[in-house]
Amino acid sequence: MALLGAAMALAAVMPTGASSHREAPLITEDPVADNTDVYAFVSPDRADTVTLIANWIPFQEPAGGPNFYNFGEDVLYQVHVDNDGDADPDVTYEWRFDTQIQNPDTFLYNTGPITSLDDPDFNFRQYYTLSVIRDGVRSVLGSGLPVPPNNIGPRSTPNYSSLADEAIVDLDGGVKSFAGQRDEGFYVDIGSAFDLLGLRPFNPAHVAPLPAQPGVDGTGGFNVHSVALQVPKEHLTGGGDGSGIIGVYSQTKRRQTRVLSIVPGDPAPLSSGTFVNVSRLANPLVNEVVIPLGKKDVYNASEPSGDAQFLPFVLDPEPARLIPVLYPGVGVPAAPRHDLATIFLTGIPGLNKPPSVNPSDMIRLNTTIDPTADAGEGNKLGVLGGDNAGYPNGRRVEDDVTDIELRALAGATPFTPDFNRSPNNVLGDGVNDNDRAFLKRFPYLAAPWPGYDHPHHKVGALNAQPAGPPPPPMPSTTAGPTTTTTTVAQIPGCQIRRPNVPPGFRLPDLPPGCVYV
Amino acid sequence: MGVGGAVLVQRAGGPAATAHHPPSVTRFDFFAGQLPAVSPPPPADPGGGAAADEPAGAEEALAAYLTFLVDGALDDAYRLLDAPSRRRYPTPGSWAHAQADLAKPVSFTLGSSRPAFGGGGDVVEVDVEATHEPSLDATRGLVPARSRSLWQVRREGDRWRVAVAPEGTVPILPPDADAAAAVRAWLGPLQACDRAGSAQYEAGAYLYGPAVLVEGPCSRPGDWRVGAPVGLDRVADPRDFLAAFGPAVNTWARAVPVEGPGRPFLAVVAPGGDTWKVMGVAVRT
Repeated sequence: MALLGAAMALAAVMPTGASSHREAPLITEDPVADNTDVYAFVSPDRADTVTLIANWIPFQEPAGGPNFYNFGEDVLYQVHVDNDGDADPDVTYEWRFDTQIQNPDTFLYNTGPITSLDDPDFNFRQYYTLSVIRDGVRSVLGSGLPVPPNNIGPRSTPNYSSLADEAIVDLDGGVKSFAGQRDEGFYVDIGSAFDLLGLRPFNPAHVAPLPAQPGVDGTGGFNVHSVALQVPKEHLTGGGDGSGIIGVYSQTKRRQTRVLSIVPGDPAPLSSGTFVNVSRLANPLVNEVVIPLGKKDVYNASEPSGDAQFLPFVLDPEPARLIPVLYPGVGVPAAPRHDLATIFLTGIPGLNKPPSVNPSDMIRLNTTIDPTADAGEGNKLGVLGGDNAGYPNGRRVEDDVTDIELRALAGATPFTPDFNRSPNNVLGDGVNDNDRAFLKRFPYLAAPWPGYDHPHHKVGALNAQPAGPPPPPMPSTTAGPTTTTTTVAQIPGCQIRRPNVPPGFRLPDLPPGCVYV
Repeated sequence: MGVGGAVLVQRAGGPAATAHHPPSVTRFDFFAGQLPAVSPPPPADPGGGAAADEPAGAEEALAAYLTFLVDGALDDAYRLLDAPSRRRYPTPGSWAHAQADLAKPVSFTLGSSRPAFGGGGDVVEVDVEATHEPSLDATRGLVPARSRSLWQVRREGDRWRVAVAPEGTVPILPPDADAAAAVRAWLGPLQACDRAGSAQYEAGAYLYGPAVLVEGPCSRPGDWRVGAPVGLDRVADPRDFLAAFGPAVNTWARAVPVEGPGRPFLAVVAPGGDTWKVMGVAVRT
């Protein structure tokens, strides 16, 4: 309670969002192409390599059968590396997937327990081809590489970790690859963040106040589909500017034209034409809340080399303009925010800024900085926490990018010393760790939640069965998100100072008992 | 702290917000000076060049462009791209990287040319026959050994500039009659359970379609025969091929019936240079 009280006293919050889940209007309609997170870090257990991870298909409810979740066969998945700061890709890794159904005469994803990747009971299989482009030439690194099944439950995937391990393949040149379902490693209180940009621990400070609560991991209990690659550093930095600093971003592409079939017996759509961008991602948050609605699809369709068009949104981000409206009296640095442009677009001088750089949204990783901790054990605040191996120098799976970016947006960095103080430098959404422990080894993201038993089935009264004998106790592997059941009706009477709002901005309705004055 | 904040603190009954935490960064020696202003890069070179280097007409521009590609002079080729192409590839670097998606000519011959319909004389279409290093992958698709294509060249001011890729390309395929022989050659080592041996007759490292079909000639020895090739549109379930290569696969792939003591199937072949190569298998109905 003392902690909560202190938190209330801070009276300052900043907006946040999911890293890049459903972040733009068009991509929300295309989950298999919706890129949710990108990670790039020097591998803690193989420090001569860099690990690149990208995730797709947000908010996978683990029980989403019978067809579960799969990579798109007609989608081109890419992770790009710029090793000379010019905002053009120098190395590109590409994934194409192919589905093979063993028995089309059953509805079952599997016809018995799947005990190996070549188990005859594994009906709905995917394989992938991994390629790399260097110097304008595409080379196949591996093909026919297996994707493990979704984690279904104890009858279907009784030893899931073993299955997933089978799908980790060693390729020529010291490259390690994995593609398949994983636990969603990004943790954030998304439910509060998009409820008019609230943070539960600071609920009383919001212009529409609520009682303070612990953060709720809104992405907890969900899965994603990941591609993970571990490559020797020189594969990425070779031919670059010699600094060892790389810029990493991902893109998802679809063929230009998709035609739905009018033949009832052959309903599969046809895709044709060149591949075009439908999703792009580097730093979490940028397209999520910095780019305005009217430009989000443009961002997804564009190349980093054209990011000058988005520079005004970074230099004068909308979240900063909203802060005095939603949190009267809270100060943040004035525009132009060259501090944010440095963090998001160029890299930080002396840390991860290339010698010559074209400002563009990339995760910039100085590969010469060694890991500081085992995987999952780094300081979650990264550079802000004194750990130079973490975000924004690359991004590790454990980095609390939400809190880091909140504080950066609030100016709580040495770039803007007047704001690098309380409350700006203690902001957070109250979610400080992932719901599953990260692995100490490749592919680092935890095993996916099984459909049979996961936190979304443990939401309490909503699922309670009123009749019949009590069910036998379920084996539980983890606790679900912690929530507090305080309701709005319990708020005591309050008066809220009416803020000056821009034309057209509708102030939120206040809870019962609260009034604007 | 503003009034709103004070009201909230008072209502919540918490302590006054007077504590000042130390700066959060303690270890990193941050850049000490004033941050440089982040500004957009200067606009890209609009594609100029000395007037003396300018191709005199549409055919000359296309010939110069293709010659630069043959020679690997990508910066010079980039200078001759038309405006729509330069919007798609806004920098020479992006253009160079995109070569992985384009069919690089090894040699070429210009054919006839004509004003493009509706182009008002400012757009010229030129026929080109070219040779390429043949390849097949699921991103670029088929790069045939030989092709006929139609290119567009447009006038931009007093210059002629070339579209990044042809409007249409027709691969020059090996004779259909050779497809059965290619599958027969592939079947030989397959019947001897020699997958490495059969792989040399395949178009890539991965065979599309149900892998179980490929096991038949090995697991069910006997007299396996091949029939006459048919179009891919005769394959009952071509989704694997369509998903990987799009409907263009219908124009250049062929299906060869295979039957024997085991389950009959179709071997799907693609042009691999001047011969056919097996790219996958499909269920035969």
